[in-house]
Amino acid sequence: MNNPLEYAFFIKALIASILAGISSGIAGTWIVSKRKVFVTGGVSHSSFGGIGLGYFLGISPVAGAILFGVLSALGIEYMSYKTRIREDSAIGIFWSLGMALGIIFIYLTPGYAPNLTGYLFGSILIVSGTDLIALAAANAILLFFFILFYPTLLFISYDPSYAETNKLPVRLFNYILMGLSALILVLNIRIAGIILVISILTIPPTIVNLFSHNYLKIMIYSTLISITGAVIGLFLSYFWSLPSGATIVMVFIMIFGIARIIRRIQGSS
Amino acid sequence: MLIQLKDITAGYQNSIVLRNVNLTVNPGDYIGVIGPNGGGKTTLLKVILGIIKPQSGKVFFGDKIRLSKEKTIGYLPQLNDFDKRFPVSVTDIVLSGFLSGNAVFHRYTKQERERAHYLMKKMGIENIRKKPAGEISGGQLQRALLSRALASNPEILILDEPNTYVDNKFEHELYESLKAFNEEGKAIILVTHDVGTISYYIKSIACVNETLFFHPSNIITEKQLATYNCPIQIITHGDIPHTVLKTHTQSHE
Repeated sequence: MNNPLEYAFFIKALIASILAGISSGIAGTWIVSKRKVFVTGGVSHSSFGGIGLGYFLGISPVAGAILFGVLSALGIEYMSYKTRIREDSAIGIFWSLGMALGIIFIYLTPGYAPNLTGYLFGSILIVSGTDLIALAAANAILLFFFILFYPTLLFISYDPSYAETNKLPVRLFNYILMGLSALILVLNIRIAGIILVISILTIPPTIVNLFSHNYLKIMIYSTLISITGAVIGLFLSYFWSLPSGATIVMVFIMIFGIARIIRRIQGSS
Repeated sequence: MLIQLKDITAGYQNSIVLRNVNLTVNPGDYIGVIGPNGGGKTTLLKVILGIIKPQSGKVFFGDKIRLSKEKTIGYLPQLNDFDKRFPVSVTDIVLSGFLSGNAVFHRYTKQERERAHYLMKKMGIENIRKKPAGEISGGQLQRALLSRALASNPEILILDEPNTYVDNKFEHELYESLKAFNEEGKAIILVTHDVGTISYYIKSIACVNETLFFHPSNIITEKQLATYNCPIQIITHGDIPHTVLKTHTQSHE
C-alpha cells in the first residue's frame, strides 16, 4: 500500500482530524460539562432535515444542515427556558422533526442523492477545502469567545441562577454558546457523520474528566487526545480499508476503556 | 434605609405567592425569615434580589445600594439547585463573587485573589482551595458559597437555608461569623426552617405566608405565630442552652 501522505485527499483528512480535535476541546468540553450531550445528539439528527432540503433545492446540503442544526439548538434552549416542555422532550421533538423532514425532502428529490451515506456515516476522505475553512473559522470564533469572557462563562455555566442574580447575561451567553456549538457540531458531520458526530465531540472530554476537574485542563487535554485518536483512527482506516468515522470512534472508545482501567488502578492504590 | 419593599404582590404565571408585602431593611438589621414551605420565603428573596419582578408594588434601594458600583447584596442560595459536578475549583467559586453585570470582560485582580484567599482562610477551606467542587462535602461547599457571597464586601447578606448540609460545629461558626459581619453595621436576611436554632442571633422575625408579618424581636411564641398566620413548628434544642426559645414574658402577666 502506498504512503498515504502522498495523496492530497489524505492530507486534507489529516487537517480535518486536527480541526475535529480542536472542536472537541472547545465545544465538546462545554457540552460535556453542561450535560448537553443529548442536546447535541438531537441537533445532529435534526440537521438531516437541512441536508434533505439542500438536495431538494439543489443547494449545498451543508448549508441546509447548518440552518437546521443551529435553529434546532436555539429552539431546544428556548423551549426549555420559556415553556413547560422539559429539555429532553424538546430534544425528542427536534430530533424526529429534522429526520422526518429530511426523509421527505430526499424522497421528493428526483433521482439519486449522491454522498448521502457520507452525511450519515461520515466521509473524512472527501472533505472539501471549504468545509475545512468553515470548521476552522467556527472553532476560532468559539475560542475567541472563550478567551474574551472566560471567568464569566465559567461562572454562568456553573451556577446560572446565581449568575442571574448578579445581573450577568446568562441567557444571551447560553444562546451564543449553544448556537456556536451546534455550528461546530454540524461542520463535523462531514467527518464523522450524523450518527457518530457526538462521540467525536464528547468522548475526549469525558476521558479527561476522569482525571481532571479543571475546566481549562479538560479543554487542553481533550484537544490533544482527540487529535491523537482521530489521526490514529484515520491511519487505521486507510491501512485496513475501514470507514474512517467509525474507526475513529472505535479508537476513542478504546482510549476511554484504557483510561477507565488506569483510573481504577489509581483509585485502588 | 438599605432596601424597602412597598405593597409587593408577586408570583409566577397564574399564582400569587406574595400579597401586599411591606418590609424595610436598615443597616445593622438581622432578620430571620420563617414560614411554611411554599409560603413565599424564597420568592421574597428573589424579589429583593431583582430576579422576580413584582406584579405590583415597588422595591426601593437606599443610596448606599443604588449608587454603589460594587456588588452590594451578597446572596447564598439554597444548595439543591445547581450542578455540583461541574468542573470548577473552590477558588473559582469564591472568585466568581466578584463578577457582575457590568463586567463581563472581567479578569480577577491581585486584590481580589488576595481577598478570596483571606475569606477561604477565615472559613477554614484554604487547604481545599484547589479541589474541584464535585469532590468536597456539602458543608465545605456551603462555606465556599458563603465566601463567594462575602467576596465583594456587601452591605446586605441574604442567606437561604444556610444550615442545610452543615454539621453542628460549622453551624455555630457560621452564626458567629455572621454575627461579626452584622456587628460591622451590615444587614442580614436569613431564611430558615428552624427558628429555634437562630433565635439567639437574630434581631427580628419576618413571618412569610403569602402575607408578611414583621415581629421586631427575636422572641416569639407559638401563639403569636398562629396569629401571624405562620403555622410553623418551633423546634427547640434542649441540650444547647442558648437556642431554646424563651416563653414570652407578657403572656404570663
